[in-house]
Amino acid sequence: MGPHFWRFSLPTAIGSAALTLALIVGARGVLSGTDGDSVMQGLESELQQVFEKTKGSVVQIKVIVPVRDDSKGELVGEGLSVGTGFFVDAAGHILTTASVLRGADRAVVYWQGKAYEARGVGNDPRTNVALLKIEASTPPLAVENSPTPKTGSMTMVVGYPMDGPLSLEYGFISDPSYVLGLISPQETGQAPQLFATSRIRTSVRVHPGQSGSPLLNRKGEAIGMIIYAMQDGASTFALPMAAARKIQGDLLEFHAPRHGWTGITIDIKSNELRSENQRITVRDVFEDQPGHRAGIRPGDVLRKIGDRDIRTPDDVIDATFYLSIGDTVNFAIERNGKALSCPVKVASRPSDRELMALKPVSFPTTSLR
Amino acid sequence: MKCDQVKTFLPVLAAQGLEPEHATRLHRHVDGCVVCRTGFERARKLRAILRLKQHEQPPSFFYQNFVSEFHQRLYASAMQRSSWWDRIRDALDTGRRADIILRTSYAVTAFAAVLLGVYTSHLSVKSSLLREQALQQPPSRTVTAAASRQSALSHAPWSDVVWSSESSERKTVYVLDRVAYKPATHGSSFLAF
Repeated sequence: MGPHFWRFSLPTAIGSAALTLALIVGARGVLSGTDGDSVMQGLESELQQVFEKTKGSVVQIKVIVPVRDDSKGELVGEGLSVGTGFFVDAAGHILTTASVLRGADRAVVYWQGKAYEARGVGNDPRTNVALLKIEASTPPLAVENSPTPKTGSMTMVVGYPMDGPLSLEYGFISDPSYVLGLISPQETGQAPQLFATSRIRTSVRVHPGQSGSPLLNRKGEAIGMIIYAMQDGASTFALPMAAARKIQGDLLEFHAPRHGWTGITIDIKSNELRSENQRITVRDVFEDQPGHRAGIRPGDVLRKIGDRDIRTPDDVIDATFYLSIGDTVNFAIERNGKALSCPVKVASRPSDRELMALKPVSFPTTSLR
Repeated sequence: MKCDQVKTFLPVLAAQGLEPEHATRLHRHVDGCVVCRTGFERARKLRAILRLKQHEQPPSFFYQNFVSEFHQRLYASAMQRSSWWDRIRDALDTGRRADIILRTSYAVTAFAAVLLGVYTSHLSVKSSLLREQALQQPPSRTVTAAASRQSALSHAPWSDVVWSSESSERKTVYVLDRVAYKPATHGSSFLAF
């Protein structure tokens, strides 16, 4: 072997050794299946980043409330209702649930170790949304602007469980638009009731005190607000931010929710709520209400409300929740095989008591314009 | 720390509902301030009075709008500034004579308040008296509980908050409403929109 051999073979040998090492490392990775440690580290890192990014925008809320003993119907003193909320703007507005506020319009807000006096801006028991305000410059939580989250997306909740410190829980989106009938755990014989609009159902397990916590995506943006948990705790429901924002806007401007109303009813049957391509027919039209004035009749098949195709009762619930009072929305209907269009001028939703006093019209009452 | 700031938190302080650090700061001020100490003692007495009131049971229709009216009145009273008379009274005397006058004025004011329908926010009554009335007297109601239960269209949320009656001490409830599924059946359930 002459000198030329070493000139060529030394770099070759070094290259070969590096290649061999790379192959060994690669093979270990392949043989061990996946690089589990790095996946877990990535997950941990994401969770930690979301927590760090959002913790300054989440607050604990304490409200003094009168206490009664339901079994005896007695007033027994006063208590504290404790929940979570989060900033929605830089002017100190806090979104939380009406359940935390329990009708109060004053609260104490704990934010970053300090107590602030908060006043209630308004609340909406129908969607369980309440808005508070403190006099401070506040960091709002970013809100996801994209449409409904996808099933299986990772999601997180940052809130105050019981008397513990600010905590993070995580899980997945189980169902991005849940509207089924639900009833109180006391089984008091009430009729099943529907959510006012779709809720996001998640597998995140939350604890008492976390009502009003933000439901977050992987970027730390709010996609909803925790409203309810199932009785067994296995699922949690969040109001989508689009719906919360709608109510927030109403409360800011009018100090009260402004739910739209057309004066029409449809039948609900749980096992048909999600069946596609149903014929959603009008059950009743209330006398002298917007639907009646627009010429809609019992038995009409709803095909479209505004831009939304109506294939399930879910579609009706979501299409009507976002209606604004004073708007004119077009109802595309089918009557005796003929397609018709009825422009309905949206009114303000009456109270439950007023609703009970409304009378359905006898068919037929008016002719179409 | 100023008296106005402390005054807001006195009921919560008496209810032992504040974080320890915050409570310590408030106690420090209260111990050194005659006016705030008087307010604090009043709040504590109020809690004692409430314990004695447990055996009384308001009418069954009482609770319908209790919470909202209660808080409306608390807010209205909190927004009112103390009158010049209150300030002079607080500054001058807590003796027997003033106490008799004070108690008499409480009784007269309470009587007048009942007659005049104090449940509006226009009546000028001291905030402490109004708080006592709010907790001791049932407010009026506008809707019967029975009528509310009949409403198949109600969308109000349900709360699983359960208040224990084992003791009259302050209860802390960490809120998380729970719901159970029950299928809607055809013909009996409908959606009004």
